[in-house]
Amino acid sequence: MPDPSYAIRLIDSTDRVNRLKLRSEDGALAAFLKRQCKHFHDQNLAKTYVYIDENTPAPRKVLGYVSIVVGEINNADAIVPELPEYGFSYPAVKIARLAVELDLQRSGLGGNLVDYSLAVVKRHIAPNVGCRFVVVDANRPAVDFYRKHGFVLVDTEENRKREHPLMFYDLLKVA
Amino acid sequence: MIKSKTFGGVVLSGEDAGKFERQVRYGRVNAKAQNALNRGDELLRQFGERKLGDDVTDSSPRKIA
Repeated sequence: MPDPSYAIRLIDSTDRVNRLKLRSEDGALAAFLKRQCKHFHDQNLAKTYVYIDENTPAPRKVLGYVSIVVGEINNADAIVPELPEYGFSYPAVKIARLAVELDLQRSGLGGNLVDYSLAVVKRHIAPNVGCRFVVVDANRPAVDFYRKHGFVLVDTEENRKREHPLMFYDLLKVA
Repeated sequence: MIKSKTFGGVVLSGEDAGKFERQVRYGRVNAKAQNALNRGDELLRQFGERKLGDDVTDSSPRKIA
């Protein structure tokens, strides 16, 4: 077997989505990939980028994936001096799902999927559609992981106590 | 308060809304954010530009019969 040659690309209809090994507590991530991911992708409900090994024959096993979706941050109580009459809502993209094969975790693949998603949003979505933030409902143990990729925790006691604390990445503060 | 849907929007109110606005308005430029984007740009160059472009749009001129 040749050495793996990892690549990131949009999910393909032939990709094998039913073999991703995860911890038992991450069953929802495996179930989404297996049962819903391609449907969401085809219907433009969310787009999924996958890690595959190009040195394996097709159909290729998905080794990791990230699903991103259009969303918004509706700040109901915000007062924006420039737009006092405007119910303010920031366009955002959400990282809805992120998972990497158990044996490949801590090898940088998950971080690469996040970085790749940030570049897709910054270079392709924000300039053409308008988008201010990338947001994620982080698993609490993953907060430091997202911090390393530039995400900021909404720093309130209530958010810190949430099972999935909200974190944001401000696209206006990167070039 | 924060209400967040897995595949959708986020609604902020109260203390969370105010804190978020202050963090956005007064937060420092984040070197980790820029480094992550730089790595993402490199990954886009390595893996993604052609396939991504194929999926989103093709702006090359076409002759219309």
